[in-house]
Amino acid sequence: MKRSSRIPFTKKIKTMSKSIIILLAIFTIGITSTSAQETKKFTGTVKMEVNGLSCPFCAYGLEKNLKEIPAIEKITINLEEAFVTLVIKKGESVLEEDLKKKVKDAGFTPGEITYAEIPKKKKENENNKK
Amino acid sequence: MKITKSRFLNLYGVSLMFLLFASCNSNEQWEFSKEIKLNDIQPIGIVFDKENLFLSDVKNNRLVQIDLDGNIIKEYGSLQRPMHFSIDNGKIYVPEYLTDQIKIIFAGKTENLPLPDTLDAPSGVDVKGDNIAIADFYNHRIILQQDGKVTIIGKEGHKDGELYYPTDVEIRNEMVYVADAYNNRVQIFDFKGNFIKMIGNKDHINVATGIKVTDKYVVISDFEGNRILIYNHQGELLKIFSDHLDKPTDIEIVGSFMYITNYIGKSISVFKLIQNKKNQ
Repeated sequence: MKRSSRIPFTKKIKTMSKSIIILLAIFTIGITSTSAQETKKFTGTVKMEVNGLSCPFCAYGLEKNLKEIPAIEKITINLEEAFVTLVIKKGESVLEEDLKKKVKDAGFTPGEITYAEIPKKKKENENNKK
Repeated sequence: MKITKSRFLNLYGVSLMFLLFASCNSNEQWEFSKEIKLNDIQPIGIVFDKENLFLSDVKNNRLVQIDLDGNIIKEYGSLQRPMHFSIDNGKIYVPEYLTDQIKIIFAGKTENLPLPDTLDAPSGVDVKGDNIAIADFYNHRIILQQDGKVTIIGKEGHKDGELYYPTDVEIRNEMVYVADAYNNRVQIFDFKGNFIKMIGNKDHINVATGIKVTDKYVVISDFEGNRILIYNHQGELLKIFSDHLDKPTDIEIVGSFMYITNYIGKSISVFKLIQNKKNQ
């Protein structure tokens, strides 16, 4: 108590505003990263884990739902290992949230979505670095 | 002692029941006979018609007619994920899971069965004369069409008479038998859609994907549990097969042989009914 009373009022204001700015910055970064996650786009070939796939009727039900995304060219479902491989049409992309919604609509829980192959541009950049 | 007509009928009835009970008991044994390899066929449904087996090959979007060694005799292509199909009076009725249609293949032509309502992933169909039953997977119901009359059987749920992702359906003796897949049981309804009976609900079935009903048996394929369960019509469990199977999807019984389609194994397991005379 005694210690704080010794700090001048202007300095107090400065410290407070600094803290607010830091907090705002953290908050903004959080929002940006969340929205970036939500709007994550996939191209090329994607592997998506799906929880709850337990019979062929589930597998082909998921296929039926995913086929509603026009940018998807090919769907391969691995029932035993519970994942889906999706080939996205050249020059097109698919939003992560759209993929997850279709999985949920089909009655399953979406898992991790990763690239099954390194996308072409990324691959070229990596080759250039070498 | 004079035997009256009614007493004779009573005695006849009791004797018949005794015979039925005896025939359902342990003097009948199903034994593994052989495995028919199917190469690249990934089967869902199986139907026997005119000396041949027919299979729906879901992976390759076709129906195939095979001999008893697994050789393809004929194929019917361009089907969109065909599931549990039916053959009646020479016509093949195929539910297309992806197009929500029931295809009728007859005399080299394919046409759509007129439907009273929109389906969402039809997984099974059975046709017996003027009666057509369709398992409407994502709508959790059975559509029964009878010469223009339509009866909706079941709704989404877990109680008696409710369905949860039905996969297969069979009509027998004016009853509708449903493989109620994710309720892990078989349910029996009358033609008015009234719930009559439940079978297999206490036997820990893990996804009831296929059903076959004969005069004596109700047979269920338990896909995830990798088993076949055989019941009598009273709902008593007579036998469980768990060997020689690789994710079974459907059953066909022809004479003393039972044919079971293996989805992952891409094969048919054949079991033979043996009458054990020593115990009789």
